Amino acid sequence: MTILFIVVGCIIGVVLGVNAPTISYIYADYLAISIIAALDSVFGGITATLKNNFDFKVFVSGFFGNAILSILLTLLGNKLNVDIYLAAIVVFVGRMFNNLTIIRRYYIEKWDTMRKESKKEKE
Amino acid sequence: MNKNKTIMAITIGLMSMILVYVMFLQFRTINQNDVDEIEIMRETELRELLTNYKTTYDEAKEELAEVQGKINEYKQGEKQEESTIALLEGEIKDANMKLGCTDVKGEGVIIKMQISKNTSLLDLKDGLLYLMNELFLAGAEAISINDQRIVAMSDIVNPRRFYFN
Repeated sequence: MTILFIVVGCIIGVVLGVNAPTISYIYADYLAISIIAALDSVFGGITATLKNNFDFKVFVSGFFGNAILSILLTLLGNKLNVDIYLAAIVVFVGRMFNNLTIIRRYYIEKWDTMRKESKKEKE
Repeated sequence: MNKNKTIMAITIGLMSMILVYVMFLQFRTINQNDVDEIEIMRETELRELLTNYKTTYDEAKEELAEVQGKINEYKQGEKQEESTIALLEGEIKDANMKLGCTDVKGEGVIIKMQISKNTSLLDLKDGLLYLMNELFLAGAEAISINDQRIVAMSDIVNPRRFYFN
């Protein structure tokens, strides 16, 4: 059921995103950083699910909280004339890579185990 | 329990929708702005450009003040013949330097250009002209290409054979 909602949500998102009027380029930086923060939360959520410690409240608060915080940091950076958003990008992307590594390892191990079991069954 | 799961699924669906919506909005914004170079330029780049223009403007202002000072000197020196002659000599010296009749010594830059075989004659000519203009704009007092002095009347003809004047 969750997957169905995700797929429907994605389709609606694509339709809305393609048809919505574009925003000013000035705000593109803020949107970009919020997307990266949200993606980081998504990968974190997937990793937590694989580790069986997924907490819905943590996921939702992380998704919106990180996005808003990163936007505010970028805004502060612009006011101070310091590219703070670069630090946020480094942190989020670093975490995304870590989470991707965990996901990759999990599926490789799973695949290995399945292969070994099928071999044993054949023998 | 089931109700909780449904709420969870709906929330995750909504979050996916928001994420995908924002991503597509961003893609479209970036694509649309690709056309207009000025809008693509980041704030820092624009600031840098503005600073360069400001520096050039300040230099031009200084030069103007200098010329105005000379004019004042001429006006004052009309009565004193000696100072007028000295002033004129200085002017002649300056003019000679600009015409390339005298050698110039001092701080400067040497730019070595390597021309590839694929470079067209037009590109080469345009490149040299662009470089020269930028150097003059940056305040270069004398420029020479392959030991040939470039003055106001210089032409760049067939730069591959190094004929400039």
